[in-house]
Amino acid sequence: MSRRDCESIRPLISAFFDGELTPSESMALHKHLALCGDCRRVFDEYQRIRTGFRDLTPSPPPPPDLARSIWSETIDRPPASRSRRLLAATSLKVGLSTAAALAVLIIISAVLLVRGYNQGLTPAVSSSVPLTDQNWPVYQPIKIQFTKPMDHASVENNLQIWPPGERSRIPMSWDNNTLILGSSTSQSTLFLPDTTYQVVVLATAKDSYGNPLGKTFSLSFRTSPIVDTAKDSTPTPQPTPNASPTPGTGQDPAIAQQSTVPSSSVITPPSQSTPQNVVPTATATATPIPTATPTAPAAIATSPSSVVNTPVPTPTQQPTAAATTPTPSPVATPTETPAATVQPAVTPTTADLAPVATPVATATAASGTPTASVIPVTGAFGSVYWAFTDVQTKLGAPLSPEAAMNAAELGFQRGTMYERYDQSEIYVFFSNRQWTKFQDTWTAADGTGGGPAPEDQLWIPKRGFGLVWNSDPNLESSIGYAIAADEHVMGGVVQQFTNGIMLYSDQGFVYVVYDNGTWQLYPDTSGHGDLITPTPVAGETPTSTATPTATPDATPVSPTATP
Amino acid sequence: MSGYAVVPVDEATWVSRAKEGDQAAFEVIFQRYERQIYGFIYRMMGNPDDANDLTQECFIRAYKALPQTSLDLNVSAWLHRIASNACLDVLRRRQRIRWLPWESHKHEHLLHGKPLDDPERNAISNETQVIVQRVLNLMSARNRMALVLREYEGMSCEDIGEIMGLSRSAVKSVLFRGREEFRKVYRTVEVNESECPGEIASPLGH
Repeated sequence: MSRRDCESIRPLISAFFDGELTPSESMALHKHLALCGDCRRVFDEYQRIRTGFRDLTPSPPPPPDLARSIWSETIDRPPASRSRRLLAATSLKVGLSTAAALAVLIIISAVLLVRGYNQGLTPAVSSSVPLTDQNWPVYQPIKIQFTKPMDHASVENNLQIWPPGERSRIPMSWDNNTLILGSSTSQSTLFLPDTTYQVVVLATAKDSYGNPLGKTFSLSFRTSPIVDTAKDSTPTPQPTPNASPTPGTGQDPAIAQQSTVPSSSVITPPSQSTPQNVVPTATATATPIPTATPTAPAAIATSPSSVVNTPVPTPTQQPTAAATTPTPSPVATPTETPAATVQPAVTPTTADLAPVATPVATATAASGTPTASVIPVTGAFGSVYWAFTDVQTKLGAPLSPEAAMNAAELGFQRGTMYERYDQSEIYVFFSNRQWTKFQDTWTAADGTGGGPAPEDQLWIPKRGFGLVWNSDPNLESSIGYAIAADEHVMGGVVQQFTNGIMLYSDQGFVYVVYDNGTWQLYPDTSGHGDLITPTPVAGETPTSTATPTATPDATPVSPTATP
Repeated sequence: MSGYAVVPVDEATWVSRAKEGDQAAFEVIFQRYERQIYGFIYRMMGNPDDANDLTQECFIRAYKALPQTSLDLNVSAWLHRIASNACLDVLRRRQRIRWLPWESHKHEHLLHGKPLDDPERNAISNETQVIVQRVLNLMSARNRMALVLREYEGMSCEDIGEIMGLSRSAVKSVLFRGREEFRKVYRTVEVNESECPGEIASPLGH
């Protein structure tokens, strides 16, 4: 490594931190850093400079009399060219006070009018930086902009960040209507490198006038890797976890169906990754089938003509949809279910849209239950199970009531591990929505293991998780390093269903684990009162439940769609 | 009057009103940027006294220059430009009399008299923070400014270019020089710290 090489590379290191590298420069930098220890040190030092700046507390607030001394030099002494001003200057005190009063009046009336205008509107997320699925530098804060002033506490209470644990680590702040993640007035934090993030603002978040968001906002992005030679081998395997999400599942770690705002494409994926699953469930439970359609684009509901085009994404669903047609009649008895209290909430929203849909919707809700008439699905699980009909379909009926157990959870860069201590089973959830299960064979004799990873903020997992992680060399490249030194031990909850289980994490998540090897992540909304069902479903389920009705009505259309 | 108030008022509106001599509008602009500008100058100068004086000067200059600004004014960049010029003026004057190296030390000294629970003291007591500010104070003004704008204010190279009147590539190179200088000055500060803990010799070392 000649000195001249280093000299030409150093500016690139600096440019890397400014996001100003061209792809070829970036490649040259990577190559050089892999070989040159001196430049790696410089890289580290640049990074520490950044951390040093980010850790600076904000400057003390400007003294209150600063404004006054500025006024005395400016507003109170207006430019002589303006006669209007001159007049004000001569009448000094009086002029000032009237001007001030006028100013106050203008501001107050403006504020009042804008407020009145704002009050009635439903808030929404108007934009986010990054956009969904964008690659994002670790040092750049995330911005989520709302259309109107939000109740900060409410939004923060309804904010979830995956991988678990990141919610408490990442500082946040507000700039008018924009929520900023990754930096606050007192600190800023780097995001974890090469990590899949999912940021969710629940539908129950309120604006400053108490109007709820109404739709759950979900944003998923992946951070760029920090150049590090220790992991120079990883870049090659890394694309693998990424590769599978991109074609189908996209932002995947899966609060997917809810991500209404960023891109509607999110809604479609879940069905794609689990088409095999839909069919068996359909036959097994027979009735819940209508729910297979919710995933279809909302467009279907509104214009029957579009049905012809839309079936393309999920051909497997079409048969199920057809199978639905017979079922609508059994309006059944929604009351059968103990948890049925939830269902009525679904029906009204549907009814609003299209009265025709009502019977079907009830059929859907009721249908999941016949097999399970006595076994309740409540709490966090209920908030997911009853709100997302596709979960009902795919998961089937509950086989047993929920059971408490001890559990541990550990977030990774691109996944999580969750252990049920009652079974000594470790579930590994990959961000590409696949999962596997390992038996925990760890004993104290194995030693704690673990320790810091080559990169800041990342760790090699300990104990049972560490054993599993070390046993399979692929795990390092697929889920990456742990994002905390120790696992989070908690009281977990599990419930068994026909085609899978639900696992509860007290960090605010419900894992829906399907027997077919896929999984989905849902935020736990049960802590938010009885808003559970109406809100997340409102935007999507009604439209989708309407689809079955559209099919029988427009009988000529559905056959064309089916093949 | 109620007619226009219904429309949410954006920055451009405030600016154009302020240009027409609307004092309330200028006040709104001031309130929006006071903290940010003060913070920027504080980092540039390293002490609250200068931050006060120069923030004041910045807004007075801004008020006077307002009528000559263009309609599509980028207020943030414009105010930062005024603030940085004000800072550079002062720093250039002081550099001749080698006043600078002692500033951070003096500032720290001021804090010693403050009660332990004084928020300002808490804010600055952190060792790294003190060192970062000290290193900044020792850097050349232009490099320091680029680094503060980039790393402290988180501005893009484009914004920095607008503030400092530089092309994008010039910003990249001034940032590179700034980081290199920071690294070097940091070493000397560290060495001085370890050689005579507690008492800091003139870090410029003569």
